[in-house]
Amino acid sequence: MNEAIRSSSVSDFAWLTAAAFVVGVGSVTAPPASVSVEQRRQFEKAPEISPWADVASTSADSSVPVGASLTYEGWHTEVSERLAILSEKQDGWKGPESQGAMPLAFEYANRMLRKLAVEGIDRRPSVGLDYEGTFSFSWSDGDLNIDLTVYDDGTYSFFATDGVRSATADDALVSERLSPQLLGLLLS
Amino acid sequence: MPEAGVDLHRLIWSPDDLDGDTLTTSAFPRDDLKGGERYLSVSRTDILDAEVERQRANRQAAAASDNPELVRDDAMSVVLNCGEVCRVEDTNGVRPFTVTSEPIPNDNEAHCGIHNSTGQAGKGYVNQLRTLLVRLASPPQKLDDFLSSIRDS
Repeated sequence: MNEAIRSSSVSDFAWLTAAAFVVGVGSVTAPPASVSVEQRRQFEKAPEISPWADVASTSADSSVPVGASLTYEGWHTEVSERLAILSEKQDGWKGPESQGAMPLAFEYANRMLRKLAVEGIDRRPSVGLDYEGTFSFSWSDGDLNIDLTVYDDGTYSFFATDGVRSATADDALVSERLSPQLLGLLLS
Repeated sequence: MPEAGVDLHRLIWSPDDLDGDTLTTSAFPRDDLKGGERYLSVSRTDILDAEVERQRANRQAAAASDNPELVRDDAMSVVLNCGEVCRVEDTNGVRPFTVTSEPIPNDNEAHCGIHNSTGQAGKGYVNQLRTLLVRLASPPQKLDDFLSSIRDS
């Protein structure tokens, strides 16, 4: 998987449009459809340096707009802080064979959080660090049950159901747009 | 296999497996749910001796005394009903779990295993199994509170 040489796609265009909107580059008449009015407001008041500036500036990941800023409000801030705390866990943190947080998994988990924020997900996930050093995002709210794991190779797996519909994937790319089926369930 | 009415105790060593008051799917290791020889360790509560369980937890904590993350007093408990675990179905209508007795002589006679007996070990499928377990688990409580309730009953 070489994300750096991945060719442009519709999702790239959406992100690049969002990036241009944020940094005021080019002639952009409207943000991409996935950016809500509230997020547009957030973009407009975003500070120059975001919590993700380091990730964005060094990233070959086209889903993270270079130079883009995004402020977090509500649960996004809580989850961002929790991810940071969990990222400090070392090998053996919950048993002799348990692995500490994988640095790259932490980075990709941050990107997943960013993706959820930009997509306008209102539901706060519960976030955990797996025994294997990967990160989990889970939602359990009535019939809605979702478990999503972010790995250190830039992929994520998930299962999601609302009791009627379900969706699953083994190796989705964090660098691409969120799975439409997963997004539909999260926004329902 | 324990009877359907038996409750199964899952010891959760790290409070970080809870996000606030909510049990996260991370409380259930992915590797333990891939099937084969691996299984999720639990203890059947009908024969669980609270004092033995407490001593076992103390020994495990002492063995990990060089690890400041493992604080005995922070240990939590959740309970899953054996019958519910065995009856729950995945999206294909398959019952993915079996529960077996796995006694550890002179240590934990109540030890059991929750197995993924489907032969499916895909990443997304393991995610599905974790959602099922979180849904079936009781609200988390302090290990000492749980053990007190066992002793009192």
